[in-house]
Amino acid sequence: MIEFYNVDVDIDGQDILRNISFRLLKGEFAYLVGPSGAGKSTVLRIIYMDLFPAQGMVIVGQYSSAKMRHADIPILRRQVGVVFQDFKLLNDRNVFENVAFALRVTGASSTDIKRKVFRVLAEVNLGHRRNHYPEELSGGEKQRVAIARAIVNNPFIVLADEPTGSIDNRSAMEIMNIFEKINKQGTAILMATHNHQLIEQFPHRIIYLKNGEISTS
Amino acid sequence: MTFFFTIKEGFKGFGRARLSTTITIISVAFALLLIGYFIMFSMNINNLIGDVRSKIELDVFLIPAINETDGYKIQQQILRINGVEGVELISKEKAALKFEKEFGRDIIDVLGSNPLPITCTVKIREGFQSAVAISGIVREIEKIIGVDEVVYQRDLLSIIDRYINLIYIIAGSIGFLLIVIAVVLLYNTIRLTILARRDIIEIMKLVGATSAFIRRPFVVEGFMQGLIGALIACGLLYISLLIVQQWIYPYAVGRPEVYAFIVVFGMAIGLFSSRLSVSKHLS
Repeated sequence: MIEFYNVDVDIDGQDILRNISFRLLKGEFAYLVGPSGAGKSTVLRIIYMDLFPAQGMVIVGQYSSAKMRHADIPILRRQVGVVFQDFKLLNDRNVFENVAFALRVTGASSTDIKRKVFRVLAEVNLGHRRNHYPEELSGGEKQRVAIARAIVNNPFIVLADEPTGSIDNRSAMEIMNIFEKINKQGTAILMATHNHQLIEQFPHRIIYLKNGEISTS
Repeated sequence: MTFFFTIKEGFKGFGRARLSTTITIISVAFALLLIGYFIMFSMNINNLIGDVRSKIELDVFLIPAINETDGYKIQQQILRINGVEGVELISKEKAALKFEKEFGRDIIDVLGSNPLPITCTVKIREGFQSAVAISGIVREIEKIIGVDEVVYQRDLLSIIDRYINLIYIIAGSIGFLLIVIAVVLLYNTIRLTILARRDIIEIMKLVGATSAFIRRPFVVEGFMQGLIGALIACGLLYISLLIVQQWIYPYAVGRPEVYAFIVVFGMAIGLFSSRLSVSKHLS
């Protein structure tokens, strides 16, 4: 489903990834681990095609980085959910509107939007907070809104870039439980993290990155 | 659904970035007001010159031996010349009356007889009021037998003709410069508005919005900013015109086309600047 073939990435003349090859299967859960600057975020950016390899090729679902058309990128992103450490929520919209935003860009009808948003908000236990604005939420709640937005379009994979980096331990556990639940429903998860405690508590495959190369997978 | 979302988002953008929206609208209004002032000024100068030209008449003095019957024949001949709008024949008696009106004394009392010749006052048609065209008409009139001399404000016409092209070149350059300044100013102001909202663009891209979908609300917003700025400029321009008419130059005019141009230009500049800025940002 996700395949990296000898991928090299350089940004502003600096090698960020070197000869990366790995495969993530349908419905798999994997951690991307490594020190800061190892290239974890770059791997995720390549998957949602915010960056393209200088060498090699990446296959994401039915799309190949080698043949990707600019017009197809939005279509791919509707099938790939992304969650960030800093949540990336729109502060001038309430929880419902933040989640609905991902559906509005697809041209979904109001009825469809309501039905799907209520469903995912229930999944992340935030139905009762739907009319609240991000500034009224805790870090854990904000991250759950971001997860709801990432999964509302039923993606085949969710990419999470340090999703527990800005929240307390208890909220991190809640977030991990939500990811487990989403994964059990068939969605693959690729999570970049530093949090070894969580990896031990929720064991899954680990892809180690060091200096832009995979050391073990 | 997408259409209503676009319109709603475009209008919401006003509330979301109140300060930058206000700055943009003020910039639009200011730039368009400058352009409006310039157009109005040029238009009134043009009217003034046209007015001076239209008042230019030729005084055709006939030789003293010509009687009134021949004078009317000459009047008909002058009327047939291309570029002549009308000819008024002033008889010796009428000329004497005119003299009395102007100098307060009867010419016969002063000179013992009336030496004033029959005169034809020639009005020139619009489009023939330049020095070159009038000298052509004068040559034609001078060819007519019985015409003694043609007198007109040759020097004034030459001055107008000499400087009018220079005025048009300067006015055209200033106008072009103002439009360029307005476009650059508005493009940069709108670009700053968009830069201030790059977070929303980033999130839109992230959740799979197409470039067209991202662009549309900003274009609606830019269009509205241009329209509101233009309406403010029109209001201020109208007030300025009333003040000028009241206190400085009562004959100042402001044609509706100027206001229409400002509104259309404002909308177009808002629309294209925002479109260009977002597209640049997206690429």
